[in-house]
Amino acid sequence: MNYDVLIVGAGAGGGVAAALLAESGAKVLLLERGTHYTYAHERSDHLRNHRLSQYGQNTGPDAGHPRVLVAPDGSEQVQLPHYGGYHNNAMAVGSSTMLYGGQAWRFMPDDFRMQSRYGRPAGSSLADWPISYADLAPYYERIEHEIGVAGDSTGSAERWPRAHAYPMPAVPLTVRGRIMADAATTLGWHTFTPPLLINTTLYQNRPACAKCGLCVGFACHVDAKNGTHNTMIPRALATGNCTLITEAFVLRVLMADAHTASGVEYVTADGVHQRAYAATVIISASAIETPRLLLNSATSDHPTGLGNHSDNLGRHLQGHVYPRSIGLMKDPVYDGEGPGVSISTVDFNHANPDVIGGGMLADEFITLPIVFWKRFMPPEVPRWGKAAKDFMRHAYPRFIDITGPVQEIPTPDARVTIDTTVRDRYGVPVARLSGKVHPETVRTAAYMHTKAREWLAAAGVERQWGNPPNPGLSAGQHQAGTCRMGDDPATSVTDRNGKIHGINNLYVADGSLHVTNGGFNPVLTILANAYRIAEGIVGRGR
Amino acid sequence: MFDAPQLATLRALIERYIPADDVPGGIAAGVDGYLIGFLQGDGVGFLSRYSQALTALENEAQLRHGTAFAGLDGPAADALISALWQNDTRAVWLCDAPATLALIAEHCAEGFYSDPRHAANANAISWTSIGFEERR
Repeated sequence: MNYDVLIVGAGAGGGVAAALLAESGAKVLLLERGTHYTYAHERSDHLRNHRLSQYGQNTGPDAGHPRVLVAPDGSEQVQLPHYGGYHNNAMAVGSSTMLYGGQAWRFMPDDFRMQSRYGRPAGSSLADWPISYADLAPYYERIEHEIGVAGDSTGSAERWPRAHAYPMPAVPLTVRGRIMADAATTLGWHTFTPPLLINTTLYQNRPACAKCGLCVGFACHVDAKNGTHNTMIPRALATGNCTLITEAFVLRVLMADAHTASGVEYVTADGVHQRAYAATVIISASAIETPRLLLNSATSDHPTGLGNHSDNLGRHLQGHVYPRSIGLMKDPVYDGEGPGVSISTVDFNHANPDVIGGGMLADEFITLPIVFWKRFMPPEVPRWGKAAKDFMRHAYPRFIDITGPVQEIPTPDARVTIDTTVRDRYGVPVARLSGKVHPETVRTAAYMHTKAREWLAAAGVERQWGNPPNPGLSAGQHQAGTCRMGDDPATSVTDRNGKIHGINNLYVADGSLHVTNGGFNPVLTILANAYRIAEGIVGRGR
Repeated sequence: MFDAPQLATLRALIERYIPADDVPGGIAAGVDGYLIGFLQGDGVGFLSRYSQALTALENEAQLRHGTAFAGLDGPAADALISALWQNDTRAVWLCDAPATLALIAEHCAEGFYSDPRHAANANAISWTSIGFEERR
């Protein structure tokens, strides 16, 4: 089959691109390795979800898709998809946008010019984006309205002046949120409720959040959480111009000549190899699978992979480390009101003394009891017996945790390559992840940890615990950076339009493009940037 | 999977790990049945360590008290468990005692504090005791 546009991956970036291109009249083929998942499929298994994947996940991939992780000490381990070292994203139509908590942050203007603001630390690859906040602002606004964000337009106006208010009001403050808002006031900090891709009113014919408390990690049981699976992809399909094939795993990009992609080869659920051809090819498989596919698509003209002309493909892998402090209040503060996160500060994303960048801090989505047990218990509390049971009963209703994503200082050594021995179920070399976060990221995270502690102390916690994150590899669901955009082909994989340098019709549209990843959950930026890239493809007549 | 003495030891251990008080303990919540199912499913790789640990735990009770682990009263059982978590062993252990006992405790908690579908949190008693509910 011949299409105008072929998109690999129906997640955040691919979903937006599919809608924009199909609505422009292009014949679009959208290939997705996962399938349609709903609440009915995944239910709410507390041990097998994208918050805690102890024994598996509610959406794949399965064990036939391993990866290899190289630890900082050089040891290698094969990672199954539910292992922490795999750095998985959901394998589904909509990908993680159907499971996320949906924090809908715009990056700040300085997040696009980190090198200009801070210089480039030794050993890092800190750089400016080729575009500015102003270039992306109109697309942020469109995403906020077209996918649907509930937010505090007034509280956030100082940082992000906007032409139109958020389309829905923010979620209400929880009991914890009120306490932390008051605590911030005593410190002179500004706070507001985080924007969320969650309905707080009827919006686009889907209901408001039912406040169930099982948000991040799970599909929404009332369909009030907004991702590409229930907005952009249905829009694409409604045009009649978009064909979505699920359970289609793309093996490689096909090249007609050195400068022209012709399509992809993929394998279907029943194991049949197919080829599809298109005038334009867009890869939106996220920041690990996108470079893996491009590396595995090497040709004689591109012997080290497509887009790897300057040895940047797969490098600069980053996500977010999360410093966390957990405080214990004297009296119960848990009200069970989902989604749970309701207060944040962005006072410390920049302009911190002696560290580079910073990050947003917020309270947390409702914590599953077993997640509290595994991750939030202080180390000295016994793990068995009456003391453990008593602590759970005392602490769960009384804890407040403060955490947030720290802007990472990218390093070329944190990277995706392809493994020379381990192959997936289709015989394709798997992603090999190596490196660790830059020491400056560790320093910034330690600083943000002190701010989390300061905030909790001001709230009057009786005690608090939790450590700054360890300096391992960071990627996870916020994975980014491996196909960085740039105007200079010598230092980037794609141009500012997301087009791979030197190839006329091969694009990337996902978090791989992020030169830096902000001190925020990155999904709104992935969505907005995909909108910008897709609109550019339409505007240039494909 | 387990012989009768091992099963009795496992049940007694579960009840010390999650003891009954004003909230039912691990046995009433169903943790024993959960673990047996788990060890035939996702946890099958742990089965031999469980078997080794349960036999060793029984031997520890016999060596120290001349009785079955399941026959110890609560304080005596807790004192024995505490000693073993400190690697104070007297019987032969074919597995690492502290690590295996910690592993079993973690599996008990996974059942007890996760969703009642797994049948180790009967009537969501652990959730009720800490104030959590799924509002679905």
